[in-house]
Formats: sequence, C-alpha cells, structure tokens
Amino acid sequence: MPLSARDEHLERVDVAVIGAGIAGLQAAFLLTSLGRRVALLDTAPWIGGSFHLLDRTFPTDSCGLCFMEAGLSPTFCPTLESARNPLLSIYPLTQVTAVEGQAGDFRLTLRQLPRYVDPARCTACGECLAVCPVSGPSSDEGALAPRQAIYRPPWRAVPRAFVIDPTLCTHCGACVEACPEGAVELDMPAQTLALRAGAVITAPGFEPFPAERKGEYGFGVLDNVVTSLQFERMISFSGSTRGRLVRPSDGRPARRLAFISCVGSRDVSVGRPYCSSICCMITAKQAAIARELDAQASCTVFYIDLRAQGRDDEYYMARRLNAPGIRYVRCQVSTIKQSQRTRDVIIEYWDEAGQRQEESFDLAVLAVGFGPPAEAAALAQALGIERNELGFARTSALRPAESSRPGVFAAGAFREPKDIVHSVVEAGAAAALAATLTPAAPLAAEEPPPLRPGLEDEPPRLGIFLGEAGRQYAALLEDLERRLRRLRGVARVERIPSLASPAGRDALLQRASEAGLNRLVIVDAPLRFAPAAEANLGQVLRGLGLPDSAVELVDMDAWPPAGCDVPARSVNGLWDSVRMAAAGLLRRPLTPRPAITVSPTPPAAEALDAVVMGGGPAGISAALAMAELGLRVLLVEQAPQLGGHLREFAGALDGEEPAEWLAERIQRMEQAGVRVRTHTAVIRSSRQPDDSYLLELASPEGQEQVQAGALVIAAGSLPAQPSSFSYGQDPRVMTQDELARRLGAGEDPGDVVMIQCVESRTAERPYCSRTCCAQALRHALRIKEAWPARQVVILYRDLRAFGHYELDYLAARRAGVRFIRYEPHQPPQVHAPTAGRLEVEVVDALLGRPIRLPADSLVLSVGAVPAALPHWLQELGVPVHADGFLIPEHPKMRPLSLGRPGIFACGAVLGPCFAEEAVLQGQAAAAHAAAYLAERTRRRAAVESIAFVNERLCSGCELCVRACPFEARVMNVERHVAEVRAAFCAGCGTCAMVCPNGASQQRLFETPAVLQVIDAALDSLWEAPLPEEKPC
Amino acid sequence: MADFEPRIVAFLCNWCTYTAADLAGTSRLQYPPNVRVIRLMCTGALDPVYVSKALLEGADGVLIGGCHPGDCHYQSGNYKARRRIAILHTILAQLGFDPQRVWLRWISASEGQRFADTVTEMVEHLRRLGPNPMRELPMS
Repeated sequence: MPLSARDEHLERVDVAVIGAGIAGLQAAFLLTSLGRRVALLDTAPWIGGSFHLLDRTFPTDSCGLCFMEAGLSPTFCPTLESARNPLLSIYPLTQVTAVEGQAGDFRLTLRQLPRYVDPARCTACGECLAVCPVSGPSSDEGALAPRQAIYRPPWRAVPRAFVIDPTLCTHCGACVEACPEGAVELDMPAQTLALRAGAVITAPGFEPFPAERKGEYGFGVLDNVVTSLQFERMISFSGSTRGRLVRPSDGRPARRLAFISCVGSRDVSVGRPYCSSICCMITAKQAAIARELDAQASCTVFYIDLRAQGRDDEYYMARRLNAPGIRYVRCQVSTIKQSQRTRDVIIEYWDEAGQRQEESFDLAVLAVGFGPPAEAAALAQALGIERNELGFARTSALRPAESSRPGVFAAGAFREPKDIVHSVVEAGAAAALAATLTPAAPLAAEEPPPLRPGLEDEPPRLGIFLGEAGRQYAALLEDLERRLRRLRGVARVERIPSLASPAGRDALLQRASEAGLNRLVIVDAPLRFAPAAEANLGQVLRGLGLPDSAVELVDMDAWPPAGCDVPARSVNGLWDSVRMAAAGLLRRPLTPRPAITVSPTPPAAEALDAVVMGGGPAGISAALAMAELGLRVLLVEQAPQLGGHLREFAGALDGEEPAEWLAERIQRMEQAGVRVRTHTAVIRSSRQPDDSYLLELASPEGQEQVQAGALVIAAGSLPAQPSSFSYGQDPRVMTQDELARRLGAGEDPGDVVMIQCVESRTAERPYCSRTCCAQALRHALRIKEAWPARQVVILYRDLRAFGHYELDYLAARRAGVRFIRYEPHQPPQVHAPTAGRLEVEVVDALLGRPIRLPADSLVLSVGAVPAALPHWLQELGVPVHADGFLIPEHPKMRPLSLGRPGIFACGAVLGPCFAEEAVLQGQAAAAHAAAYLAERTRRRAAVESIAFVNERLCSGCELCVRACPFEARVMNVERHVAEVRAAFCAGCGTCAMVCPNGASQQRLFETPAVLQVIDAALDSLWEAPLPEEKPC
Repeated sequence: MADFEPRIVAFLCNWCTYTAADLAGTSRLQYPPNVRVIRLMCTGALDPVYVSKALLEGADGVLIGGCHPGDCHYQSGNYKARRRIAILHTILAQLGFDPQRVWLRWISASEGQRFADTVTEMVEHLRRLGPNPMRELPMS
C-alpha cells in the first residue's frame, strides 16, 4: 500500500538501521560510504551496543575494534566516527513500534524515551555527580560497580551527554540546581517520532543468559561467582576493577580461577537447547588475559566440547590448551558451593574416570550463553517479521540476510549468537542488499576551504584563547591566564566562551580576525570527538582563511587531569602543554590540506568496475550484489559451470533446493548485466598506475585482457583427499561428499560409521574445517529418516555443532545415532576384509576401552583444503597463510579485506565455511568493493598528516618507497625524486622518519616543529623546580 | 634526593596510547604529574633523534607508547618502533647511559588505567635511578 500524503514531510533516510552495536555500525558505515543516508536507532542511551563492554578480543588478544572499515583512512572508535558522519543521524533511547509500507518506502513509527538531560546543553562537566544522592548497581559493569541515578555514559559513547536512570532517580532535583547549563529536565516527556526509509536493517544484538536461573551454580547467592560478562569488565582496564583480578567478597587477589562453560547453552532444562557458539573462545581468551594480568593466576576450564570451529579459532584454542597455568577439564560441573570461612568457591564435578571431585577456587566465572534481546518479540512484531523457534529472526541458509518481510534485513546476533567477525560480515551483506533497494546519491566532494591570500608571507601571529567551559575550570584558567600574560611571542591572550558553543565560535572568529592572527592555541574542555566543537572550529578557520594546521587544541582535562585534588599540579601541566603547543605552532608552515581524487579520469566505457574470481556461492553472491548496485561486473570461473561446491549438495537447505537457488541467481545475474566467463582462468594480473588491475584471461577460445577497479577473490576450497582408512581401495569407504551423492541418488548406505577430523586438526593440517560436524549430523539424520533401522555411529573428537546445529545433534541423539569420542592419540582402526563387513575399532575415551563396530559404509569427514591460488596474487602482495588460505587484513574487523587497495576476498578461500556463510561473505565483499570504488572516485581532502617531499633535498634513495606500508610512495623516474600519492597516504609519517636528508616531511609533524616542542616540554626544567608539583 | 621529581617526555601514538592518556585524564585517574605528552601519528614515525634530543635536554625518562602488536593503524609502525628502540637501547648502553630511562610500552585506547599505572611505575623507577646525568653537565 502506498504511503499517504501526510507522510511527505517526514524525515526520509535511505536505510533505517535498528541496533547500533557492532553489526549496526558496520552496516551504517558501509551504507554511508555508498552515499546512502542512514538513521541509526538504539534502545540504549548511546550507540555502540556491546562495544563498550569489550576490551580485548580473540584471536589477537588486543582491542582493535576501531579497525572497522569506514572509508579509506584509518579510523578511531566507530562510535566517534559515526558522530562525525554527515550522512548518519543517531536516535538513542528509541524503539520501533510499527513499520508500514513496503520495500523501497517504509514508514517507521518510533518511540523515544526521555534522557532527562538535554544532549545539546550537557557539557559532561560532572557537577551533577557531586550532588546526586542515590546510587545503585551499574548495569554496564554487571552490578560489580555502583552507579548514581544520573551518570556519565561509557567513554567513547555517543552522545556523550549524561543520562538519568529513571529506576533510581528520586526526583530530588539536586542535579537540576547543580547543572550550570540548565541541561537537566526531570519532566522531559517521551516522544513519538516517525521516519521514512527505503529499507530496514535490524541488528538489535543479544542478551546474556540470566545466570541465576542455573540455581546449582549459585550466581547471585555465592559471593565469588561472576558471569563471563562481569569478568570481561574486571579484566578490562576501563572496567569495574580496572584490570585487577580480585574476589568480590573481600577484594583479595583472585588467583585460582575456575571457568564453567555452557551456562545457559546446550541446556534443554532452561529452554536453551542451542549452542551459543562463542563462549568457548571467550573463555579461552579470558583465561589467557587473566594469566597476563597476573602471572601467578591458575585457570581451570570445565567444558563439555571445545568448540573452536574454523581456522583462526582452532589455532587460537590450540595455543591456549598448551599454555602454562591453564588447565582444561572435560566434565559437567554439578554444583558450586562456598566455604563459609574463606568464601572460597567449591566446585563439585564428576571427572572422566567417573570419580567425584571437589576443588576450591578464589573465583568462578560462568560462561553464560546468549539469547535474543529482551525486545526481540516486540521488535519482530513491529517489523512484521517472523522469529524462529529459538526466538531469533527467521532467515534461511541461502537467503541468510533476508527476513521474512521483503526490504527488512537481519544481521548479527539477532540471527543467533555469533562472534564479532560474523556480525561484521552479516552487516556487510545486509548493507549490500539494503543499498540495492535505495538509489545512490553521489558522495559529496570535500573541498578544503580556500586560504586567505598572502598567508604564506605573513609573519607568525599567535593568539591563545581560553575557553570558559565550566565552573570547575575557573580557578585553573585564572592562574593560567596570569602566567600566559608573561609569555613572550604571543600577540593575544583572551578568554572566550567554550568553543563547543556558538558564542565561543563567534567570539573566536571576531577576536582572531581583529588581531590579524594566523596561529591559534585553544585551551578548552575536551574538544576532540565533540562534533559540535569540531564544526565550530571548521567555521572559524573558513572565516579566517586559515588551514587546519594553524590550530592546536589543548584539553584542560587531559594531562595531568584538571580534576585532581591539587590544582597547582594541573596548572603546571596545562602551562607546559600550552607552551608546547605554541612552540610547535610557531615553527609550523601553514600548508593547505590538499584535495585528491584517486581516479581523476573516468574509466573507459569497456572497462569493468570489478572482476570476481570464482563462481561458487560466494562469487555468485558477490557478482550479483555488485551488479545490482550498478557496477559493471565480470565473473570468471575455471570450471565449465557455475555453482562450485553447492552442486555437490544433497537435499534442500532450509527448504530451498540449492539447484533452484543457483538457477535463480544465474538468471538474476543475466538481468543485472553480469558478464560470466566459465572455463576461464585469470593467468596474470598487474596493478596499473591508476590503481586499477589489468587481468589476463585464458580460456579454450584464447586469451583476452580486461581492466577493473576492484578484484573479489572467491576461489573457494576443495574437499581433502584422504590417504588413510583404506580410502580409494575399498568402495565402502567414502567421504561425506561422496555419501551425499549416494544419499541424493537414494542409495541405502547400510549401517554407517562416520569418523570426524580425519587428517584434520593434525600437525600437517592444523585447522578445523568448521563444517564437517554439521554435515555429518545432517547425513546421519537423513539416513535415520529414510532407514530408521540403520545403525549410525559418529566417532568424534569435539562435536562442533555450534549455534543451531546443536539442535541437529540433539535430534540425532534422539533418533538413536551413537556418538563415541576418541582421543587424537588413539585414532580408530579399520579392518576392511574383502569378504564380510567392515569393522571399526576405536578406544572410547569415556570408557577407556576399545569397542568394535561393524559397518557397511565408513564415512570420513575429511575437511577442506585451499584451492590452488594463482601466483600473481602473491605478486600483488596478497598475503597467504602457511595453510594455503588467504589472510585477511584484520581477523575481526576487516575479515574480507586483504590489505591491498581494491582487493577483497569471500568464501572458503579465507577458510572453510558453510554455504550460508559464503553467501553472506559474497554479499558483504560486494558492499566493501562498491564502497571502495565510490570513495575512490570521490574528490576528498587528503589526510591531515599527509607526507610531502622537499624535492631540493631528496637524493632519490628510495628508502621512503620501501618503508611506506600503503604503496603511497613512488619514484619519479624523470626527476629522480620520491613522490607522494596523496590518495593512498594514510599519514603515518614512517617515510619522514626514514628519510636521511629531511626531504620527506609529515604535515603537522614537521621535524623542526617537533624538536621545538621537545624543547618546550623541558624548558621549565631550567627555569625553576616545580615545588608545588606533588603527586596526588 | 627525596624531593627529586623526574621529568618524563612521552611520545604517544595518536590512535592508541595518546587516546589512552586522554582517557586517563578525562576519567580523572590519579597518576604522577611528571609526564609531558607529545603526540605522533604512529610510533613508527618516532625518530630516535627525538628521544636523544629529549635526553640531552635533561629529560629523566622517555616513554614511547603505541598500539599493541598487531593493532597498528598503519599495519606495522609499532614493529618498526620496537626494532628502532632496541637499537637505541644498545647505543645508549654503549654511551654509558642507562637504557632503562627509555621505555616502550603498548597501551591501547581503552587502557587509561594502564597508562596511569605505567606512568606511576616509571616515575618510581626513575626516582630510584636519580636525575638524568646530563643535567649535571654545564648548560650553555
């Protein structure tokens, strides 16, 4: 139904993204890079979702969340970037209550709860905290730290304004009086808003399992039992105990740590039959970090199966298993008790030998599972989308990003609990599909403002401006001002209102222009990451005709902190900071920030935007999504036909036949204008001076050259060929793929024994192939369905039926499939007599004795090996792992980028994956490639710290060319000097450092200026000692 | 020596440690006020000349802070810094200068507490070492 005329005036965005966590932010960034306007909604008072809880993530054991791709230059924290993004509007505390209309034109009704603090006026000064009399447990810290009724959001939250928790607030009004800006409004009403959007992406995240429901583990009753989320905040330097391992009961060091897996996962008794997929990895990481924080800590992990499915996870887990001080115990913990005297946690469990054990610990960490968010039911109803029986958004294996309502897409943990990397990929896929429903607007060109004429000939005239940012800085400013009046070489020292306000902006502009200043030091409350202040500063600079290099900001809150009890200490630090800023500015040349376009010339008509290598589910999805985004795409496949591994698949996937899906996609590719070449290989590729790629194609018809701006590698993987268990000699021994073909043909396999991890997770092939356990379960269920009398036995090491595959595990056990675990050092033995049945002998790890299993078919889960990659990939600098798969730029946040401009990868070429994951990765790679191409052709400002070359000093030694990690340095062969390719310069300054002649310099960080700053930092050392400076 | 207040010059990478220092400040974490911060875009852009200059000018210690290994926003700048500082340590030792006055630490943007801890620890360490011997030299 078309929307009525009354909605014409509503704010219209291209895509509404519901949930501003990792998935929501990634989708929003990609969409804005594609020129789409985005509304980002979250029920929390700020955006970021579980971002704010996380500190360090596996497999890097470092933070790195800021690596999320948001354009071509390096990024800060995604939340802060989104506050600066002009195409993004943020709706905190907002729920969606109804969605009318259809794909292309939705009308969303929103309800925005009151924050009780006006974000436009709150300066986050904290005066209200000093007076608020109520306090309760902080939900962010898992109740391990207190929080007042009015509180400061987590660091790097956007908006930064304070929030009042209505459940704690007593309406006493103390904060209203204390607020110097009048920002607190205790009677702020809830609002009903409306919005129009072409598409909706829903990514509301997850909710941890309420651990108190597992009464036997004593959470909430015993003192020293915490959840993994609480522990995550304890080991975080910004969290409740600031990175210190202490017992909540007495604050004494927690050295003996126990981790209990599967709390509220794989547990039918609490209504959580599925596996939460990530808890095993979270536990492994937490144990490792605990050991890092306290070398004397000992960690014991109680687990059922080690679910480290996939490449990176298996590598990570293998390192942890052998780490000193970390012990893994396979068992199910029956109860947790506590010693009344010592408050030690006593864990009772049955070990594998069937003995009852009791051990005591300082702290027990429950690895809680994850469920759909509390608002899932209401949200699904408002959106008109279906949920599955587990409560997650219903999607299907081959259309994994699409909800049951056209135009509404789902991503992240709302589909089921998953790791960050998968959320990032799904967000990319949802962004690609949402973007096809909405027209692209060309990205706005960024023009650096013109500089005032004759600026380069002006002698430096420096002004220092003190922003009056709040009462708490008043004494500090007074003292500072007095000292500054004595500083030589300063044309003006003035007080102005804070630059965060329009009054501050106008005052600065007026006074700086009166005094003819060309260098400004601004001392103010924190202005970094304050979008309003940044915009004000931009206007001032435009008004004065000055470049951004003419300003230095000095943050009164920075170092040492102004809030310190000893004000003298702060003013000394501030005084030095101001002198350092001034010293550097006076030596800094006022060079403008250049504007660049990467592809100044439009590519030739016959040229291509992108070439996709590989025609499996990943490649097809990438090619189709890019073509539907309006790109000119060529899909190259070596095999005679498209489909890849999907052609081998037996039976329907979530009710859809892979063959039908394939036919539909091929037809749509034709409609969208994808050129498809089967039987064709890319035999050579080289990067061109304009950063496109010239590819040489070879097919039976001959050779041909094509040029493209981006490459998507989707070369896939191959099923491994086993060499053990008489495979290849005995027709009764087959791989899972071969079994699939026989089952597809309706052949009865007889009694079946399946062996998992054949030649996988070994020294030769150390990774886990991720898909084999689920595949074995699927086949076992099919056999039991068709021939219920058949015996099916699965021999496994760790049954990695993660996520909803756990339900297949459950169903298989109910259907009578037997599961026997074997130890890797005691692999099964097969007797294959020519007459009679096969016999498999295996030592049951639980019973500790051998078992003989007769079988008609022996099925080997062999895993996948990488496809042979063309040699030119490595020549282009694409990194390949020792195991033969590609290495992404960042394993968590940039899983599809390969660290080379315009080259992306998707599907099993990055490691074994499911068809569903290949489709998602293909669509996500399409979004990344399209975003890259869009940014590449946009005129934009170079990074502010771009490198430049003084050609008179350059000796042409090429050290900078070799040092640059971004290929932004080239030699000018004619003049024999180095040049900077502005579009690729990320502004790190590495090239300036290696230059032996000082010819290479970095804007804003010119060597003479830095040396001057160092001088200034130590100047006061020679003036006088600093008697009043004492540590607080 | 009891009232000796060491002076530290810190070269911090824009993305991680500078932001952590910022966080320590805005979080009102308490740490000794003996550090003066100079921002660089990347520790890979830290010229050892800067470190030497600071020491020659009388800094009692130099703290270099960058992203954790694998987290460099410029791919490998922190590894470059690690190699350079290792060489600088050797050179300083050869000159008879205690290399333990130059610290290289990985502190990520969220680790405000770790920045505060590092500064506290370094100040204590430098108090034990005493003033930079260069300060004894007559200044022109």
